[in-house]
Amino acid sequence: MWMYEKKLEYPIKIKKPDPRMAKVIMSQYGGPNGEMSASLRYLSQRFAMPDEVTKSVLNDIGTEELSHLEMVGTIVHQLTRDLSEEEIKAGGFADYYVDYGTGIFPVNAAGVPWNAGYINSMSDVIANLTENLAAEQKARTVYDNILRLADDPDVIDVIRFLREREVVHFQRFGEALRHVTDLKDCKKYY
Amino acid sequence: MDMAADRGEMLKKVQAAEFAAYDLMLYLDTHPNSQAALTKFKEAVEKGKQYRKEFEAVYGPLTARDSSSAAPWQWIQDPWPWNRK
Repeated sequence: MWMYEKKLEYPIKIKKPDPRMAKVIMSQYGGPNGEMSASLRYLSQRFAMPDEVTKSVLNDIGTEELSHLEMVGTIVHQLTRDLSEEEIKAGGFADYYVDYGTGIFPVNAAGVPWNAGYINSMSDVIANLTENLAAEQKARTVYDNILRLADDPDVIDVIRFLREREVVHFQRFGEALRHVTDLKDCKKYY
Repeated sequence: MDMAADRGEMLKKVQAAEFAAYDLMLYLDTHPNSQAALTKFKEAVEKGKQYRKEFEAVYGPLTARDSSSAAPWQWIQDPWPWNRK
């Protein structure tokens, strides 16, 4: 089970609204390589994990991804607070705004809703962990792209933190994969 | 003193210590025999507990169950984490 902690994993305080950046960053909420995909991928895959190392890695990284989902939602929420009609139009936000207002709905930057086809989860541990290595690199690339588009230091600081976590998770998944392939007595995997 | 800024600073200490503990936990998941990491993990956890206690004494509960609440029920009080304060 999960219990809520009334705090973010990393502080977010964005002073300046920016609907254009909000739309781009929303992709890490409901896009293919976003945090919703990450959390549901790992938390679903963990049921297929064969041993203590892999179960704990999937469980604990999946849990951290939920806190990143919350952080990305927070960034978008703070970037779209107190928007004027003019800012909505000028910031290219009207197409999102017409359906969702300034609420948080899981879509990618182009407005395509999140779907489970973005993830995979099967009984093969090698397949799962290999997918996760790619997933972390793809998420890191998206954060790199966001950093190229961002100019507000309040936004850049948080995105850098999230980007760094992708690198750490990639490292842990790599260790988990090496651990599993080294399990000599686990014939099933050879 | 700016109450909101001070809240943010106190919370940042909790966040820093508990983030360190979480990161060390992930390391320990794949290095369960690392005594050095376990020692650092315990230090971070202890720090987090202390900072959490200090924060909650002034600004109210960070968890509904494990934090003591005065009446009326403090858990619902603003700001929630996504609020810009």
